[in-house]
This record gives sequence, structure tokens and C-alpha cells, in this order.
Amino acid sequence: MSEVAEPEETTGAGQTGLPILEVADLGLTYPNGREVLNGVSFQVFAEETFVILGGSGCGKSTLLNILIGVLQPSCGRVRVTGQDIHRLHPAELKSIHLQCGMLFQSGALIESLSLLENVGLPLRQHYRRVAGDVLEETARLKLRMVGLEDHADKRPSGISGGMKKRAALARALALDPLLVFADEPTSGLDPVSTQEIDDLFIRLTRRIGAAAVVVTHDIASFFRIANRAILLGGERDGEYRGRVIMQGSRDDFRASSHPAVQRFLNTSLGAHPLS
Amino acid sequence: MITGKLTYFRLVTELGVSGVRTLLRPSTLSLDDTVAQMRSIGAGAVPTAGLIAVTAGFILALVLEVQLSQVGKVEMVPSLLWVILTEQVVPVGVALIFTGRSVSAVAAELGSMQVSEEVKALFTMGIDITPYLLLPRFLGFQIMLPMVTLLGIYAALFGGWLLCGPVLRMSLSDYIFYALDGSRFTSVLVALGKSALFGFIIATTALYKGMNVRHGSREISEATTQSVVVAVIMVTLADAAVTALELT
Repeated sequence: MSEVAEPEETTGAGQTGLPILEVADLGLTYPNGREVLNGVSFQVFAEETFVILGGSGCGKSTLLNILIGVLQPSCGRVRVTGQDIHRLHPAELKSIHLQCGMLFQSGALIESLSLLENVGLPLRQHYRRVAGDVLEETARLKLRMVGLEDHADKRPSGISGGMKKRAALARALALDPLLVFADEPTSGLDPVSTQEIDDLFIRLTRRIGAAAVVVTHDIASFFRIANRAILLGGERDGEYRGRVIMQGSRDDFRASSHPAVQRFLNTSLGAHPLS
Repeated sequence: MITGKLTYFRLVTELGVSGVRTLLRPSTLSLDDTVAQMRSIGAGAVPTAGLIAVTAGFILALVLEVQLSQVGKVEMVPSLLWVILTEQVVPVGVALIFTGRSVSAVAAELGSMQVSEEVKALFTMGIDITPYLLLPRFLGFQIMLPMVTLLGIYAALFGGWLLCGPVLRMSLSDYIFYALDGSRFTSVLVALGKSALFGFIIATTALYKGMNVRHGSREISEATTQSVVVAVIMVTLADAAVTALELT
């Protein structure tokens, strides 16, 4: 565990071998001079769940957009399986994307497609030579894994928020990725659905041996799913804004006496005591 | 294209590159999606375009009949109808119908997909946005606008006959004879060329405005409005330019 300047890495589950994701000294400054991220560094190893914590507006989703190659950082690098994704040719970045799954906050399911077509979309696009019925059966299997096989023909607009998240998870896992990114996977869900999504997320990523990077401000989820985490500083954290306040395991966070960590945990936990 | 501003030049370049790639490897384009877009953008506009074309033909024939009867030249009504409808009224009219009906729909659909992160989701799935999302819509406009224009020409001429038949006591064969007498077949080619140009203008306008939406429903409504206004202005200016070039 460490706090502020020198984030020390603790030994977490699966933290062996080369990292699947390596973020080094990442920074982002907008053209208007506003610094969003500064000196963010961490590594994610196979089969571990790494959580990016932070309050609203601290740059968590921006960081995630940089990690998936949607945004260019001002400085630093992001390596996925050893390749700097911001220096890759689009075709090479595409091959990286095939090894990654992304679960968006809103689900981001294609409205004009059924759930089955949504889950089958990456399969159809990347396995054009495979027979259509094989791809469809694979997509059905993924839907079955998240308990939505009976809703395969429904459109995203016809299902609940929790079901959308599950369908989006099935789509994110369709290509059996090495690394799964998730942006606030439980936002907007009731506590029961939140726990269901958390359990499903962990069970399925473990089943395919994927590492996961989850952005959340939900402390209950963090304690359920994380092996390790970083806490990003927000507007209220003064000099730590856009920086990593702390990096460590769940136990490290529980034990931390850093005032910003304590404030974040105690404010966010509410009815969920640390113990 | 995903988060930064998409320039018009880059959009056209990417469509061109994607189009060439599709010609070399047709399997990169989803035929189902393209046909669905052609149906949605073009086929759906046929009833409206047909009705307006018939009405326009009828009204223009009425105006011409009233004017030309004063100088005893009513037999010129069909041939004037042919030239005015084929080269001027129908190509512009159908392009404006497409603008009102489909440009706004495509811009709103793409804008909505940007806001709901669907475009970003496609990108992170390693799916090329241009051949998957943009090219089918572009082809929907580019193929269907000339086809509907051709149908519109026949519908408008039929509308002209609806007046010429009972009022001038002109049989359909006489009407066709007078319409084609002294007329140029190249008028149809001019009409098709114009509609292809208008198709390009309104398709790229819809894609450009839709893909540049970033945040919220307000931006979607602004993009929708702007796409229609810009497309109407550009079609009108392009028509004036082409007509001036053609007649000089």
C-alpha cells in the first residue's frame, strides 16, 4: 500500500508475470490549460480486478477513455500486452481492441439491433468466414451466461437497466477478451441488481481468465470485486486533483489513515461500514 | 472521429477510401445494412415524392395551359413540362423531400448514437465506423435519390397529363408525342446527374452533422435542424450552379 507520491504495489490475486495493462505517468491537460490527470501510473495483471475509484468529476471516465484509445493523453503511455496503444496504426489498435471488452455505463447497446444481434455483432464482424449459425449459437451462449436467453429477440429499449447491463456484459465478453473495461457498471441500479451485476461480472471474467479494470464510485462494489485499486483525487482534494491519492488492496484502503481516503470512504459508504 | 471534431474533408476522404476498399473487397460492406438503409431512406420516400410530383406536374401544366392558351400554343405544354419537370423541378423537389424526411432522421440517429456511446462501443469492439455505420447510409442516399427522381419524373409527367387529357382533350399517346417532340433525352441524364450530386451533398451533410454531436439531446436537435437548413441551401446553390453551367 502507498499513499500519494509513491504508489506502492501490493501483491494481489493473479499479480504475476507481465502486466496486461501498464499505465505510466499518464497526464491529460485540456487546451484551455485545465489539468485533468497528472502522473497516473498503475499495472493490471492477468485475472485480477483493478478498480479506479474517485468522486464525480475526478477524471475516472476520462482515464478510461484514454485506456481504451478513444482519447489521446498529453503525456505518459498506456501499454496493453506490451504495445503502446496511442502509437499504434488504426489496424494495430483494432487488433488490441479484439483482446479487450468494454462495458459502458449506459450499456451502449445498438438500439436498432436485438439483444442477440448486439451480442453477436463483434462475432459477425470479426469472424466473417465462420458459419452464421455457429456465431448465432455462440451469441446465444453468451446471453445464456448472463441469464438473458429468453430475451434474445428484444430490443434494448424494451428491457430494464439491469438487463441492459447484463446484455452489455455479454457483448463485452463475446470475443473472450484478455482485458475487460467497465465504466460504472452498477450505476443507476438498485442494491440487489448491483450485487447481481458485481457477482456476474466477477464470475464471468474469472471464467474466461480475463483481467478487469472497473471505474466506480460505489464503495460497496469496490469491496466486493476489487483485488487492487487506485483512488483518484477530485476537486475537493486540492493538490491531489487528477493524481493518484492511493494505490493498494481492499485491506490497504480499509487500513489507510490518509484523510482524503478516509473522507472518500466514509462519505461514500453511508450505511456500509468498513468492517 | 470518435471524440474529436470530424472535419467535412476527413469525412469525405474516409467515405472515398472506404468506398474503394468496398469495391476491392465487397465483403467488408454489410449488404443487409445497405439494403435496409436504401429501404428506409429511399423507398419510404416514394409515396410522398410520387404524390408531390403528380401534384407539381398537374399545377405546372395548369399554369402553362393558362399562359400558352393566350398565344395559341397549348400544344407546347407537354414539351415544356418535360424540360421544366425533368431538368429542374423534380430533381430539386425530390432532393428537398429527402432532405426533410431522411437527412434529419439520419443526423438525429447518428447524433443519438454518439450521445448514447454506441459509436464509441463500435470503436472499442474493433469495428470500423465508416463501412459499418456511414457507408450504408451514404449509399442509401446516393443510390436511392436518382432512382426516386426517375420515378418522380414519370409521376410528374403523369400529373401533367391529368390536366392535359381532360382540359386539352389530349390522348396519352398524343401527350407523350408532344412531350418528346423536340425534347432532349439528355434531360434525363441531366436530372440523374443532378440528383447524384444532390445525393452526395445531403448524405454528407447528414453524416457530418450527426457524427459531430457529442453531448446531450440539445445538440441532437441542433444538429438535426442545421443539417436540414444546410442541405436545403447547398442543394439550391448547387442546382443554380449546375443550371448556369448547363445553359451557358
